[in-house]
Amino acid sequence: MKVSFSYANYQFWLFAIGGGLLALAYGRVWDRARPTTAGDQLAVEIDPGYALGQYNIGVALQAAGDASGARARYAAAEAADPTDHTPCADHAQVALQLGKLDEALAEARCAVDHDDDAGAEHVLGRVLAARGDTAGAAAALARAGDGAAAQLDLGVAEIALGDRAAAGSAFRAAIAGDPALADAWFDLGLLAMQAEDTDDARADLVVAVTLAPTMIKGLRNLAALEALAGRRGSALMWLDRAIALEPGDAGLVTLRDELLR
Amino acid sequence: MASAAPSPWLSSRAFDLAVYATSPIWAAVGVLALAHVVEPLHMFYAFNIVFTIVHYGPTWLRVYCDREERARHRVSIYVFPAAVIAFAWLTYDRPEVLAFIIFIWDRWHAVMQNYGFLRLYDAKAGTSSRTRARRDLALLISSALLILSLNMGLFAPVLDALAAIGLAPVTSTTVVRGIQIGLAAATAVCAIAWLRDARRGDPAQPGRQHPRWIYLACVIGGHAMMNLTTNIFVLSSQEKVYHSLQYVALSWHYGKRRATAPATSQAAGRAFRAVFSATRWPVYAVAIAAWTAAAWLLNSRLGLHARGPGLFSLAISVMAPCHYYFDSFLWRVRRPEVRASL
Repeated sequence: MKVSFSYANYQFWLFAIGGGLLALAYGRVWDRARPTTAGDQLAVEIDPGYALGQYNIGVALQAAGDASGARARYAAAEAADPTDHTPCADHAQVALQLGKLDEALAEARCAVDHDDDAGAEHVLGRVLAARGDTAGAAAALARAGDGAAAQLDLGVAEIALGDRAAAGSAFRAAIAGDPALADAWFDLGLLAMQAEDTDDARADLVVAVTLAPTMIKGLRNLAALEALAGRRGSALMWLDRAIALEPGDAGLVTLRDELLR
Repeated sequence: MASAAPSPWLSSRAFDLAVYATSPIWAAVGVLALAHVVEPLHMFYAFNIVFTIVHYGPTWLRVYCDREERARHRVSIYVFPAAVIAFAWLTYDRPEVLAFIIFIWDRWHAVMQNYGFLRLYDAKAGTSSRTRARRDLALLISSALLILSLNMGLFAPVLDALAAIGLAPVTSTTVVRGIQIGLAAATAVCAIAWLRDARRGDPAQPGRQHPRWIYLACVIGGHAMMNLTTNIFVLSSQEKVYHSLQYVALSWHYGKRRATAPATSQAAGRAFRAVFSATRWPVYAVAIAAWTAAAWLLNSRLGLHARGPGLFSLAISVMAPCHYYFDSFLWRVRRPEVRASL
């Protein structure tokens, strides 16, 4: 049978030539391209009912630190398309940031009800914690998956509930997920300090301030830990680093003066 | 005594009306209603599996199980997938490249499937002409572009992409309005030309063009109905449903005829006959279900998710261009052996 080469039709050549050129040109053109919401802005201007455009603009505003602007856009997106609950979790975050806890709770519950993403439970947990519902927060955060940030928040909620063992497990899980999460190392160090396990506390806090050299609370607790252990030189070293970062902190200066006496 | 003219329908009047012609309409009604019950993003993901991946199955069955097709296209059907895999690998750090190609090719592929149905109905009616084909294509393209420009859910990503590469002047209200008016005018011209042709008809055989008219009206009407939403996941779901159902049904219809007709069954080969024998639609269904399950497992369990655009996995990114390209020759209505089984 004769093998036909007619299959090398215009679609084949468009893929071969167009795709190749696109791949070559991509670096030149797209690398200079900047993410923009210009299209969404225009689309929303033409059709204010374009929900995804409102949502995309909200995300850009939130990333730029404009929580109020983002909140308005998320509300507009939800009003424009009540069937799509994608904005709920982001809306909850900015409402929480703005201290509008009732609104944040409603949005977080909306996110949990319509999204099987563990991220929704995480937002709900943070909102409940901010409202003082520590047990509810811990329950929500326990459902928020094994992400490092969620485990860190879960650990904080467990401390508030008085379950140090559960808190320690959560902090260790957070560190397993993200070994560079300085706050998890710090909280684990604090737990060890409270358990009077000085060596573990020192090791964890040193990791915390190594990962986050400007973490004043880490430097302060390390200094206190070393002072209590009678290691005056080491305590002064950590204190000096903290004072260099916060020269106006009277508590740090007083502690240093006491050590020097 | 004159013999009765062959039916102008592909399968039967009832089946064609229920599945091929009106599916764009009832798919639109269905997904718009379903969006009130199911989260649009979840619906999109589910339909991606139960419609999009499912409808790749018949393509592979035709191209790899049909002995004649396999022999005829033996270079293409093995080299092209390898080339796409190589391309995906070379551009792995820039998944937008393949995603962009798939986006453009997918739009063209969807239009060409509708165009292909129109050509089939035209051939069935015995009234094929190049002018009519061009009018159909012009109306399909212009109406698709008009709907795209009017629906911000479809148009905003294009505007964003233009702005991102420095073509911000294009993204002004005046220009967009101009584009919409221009496309409306072009669609009106194409529609008038098409209607004049339809009005002339064929007095000798009244009614033989009706399947083509109904099909085109339902495709344009179904997409126009989707302007009730700007949600891209709902918009995409409608096309996934009707495009895939039409494809799976037409493939069965074609395969069954090819596997059972004495003139073609031997050339099709044993494997093809095993799947497409007239009484074996469950075998066809199981074959497609098995393919879908395998693709889903490959995609979700083996960690083949590409970086970048989240809706594109590496596996689907490779399958899609193969499906588009294979269809471009498998369903070429000009080929007599294709027409023979339709």
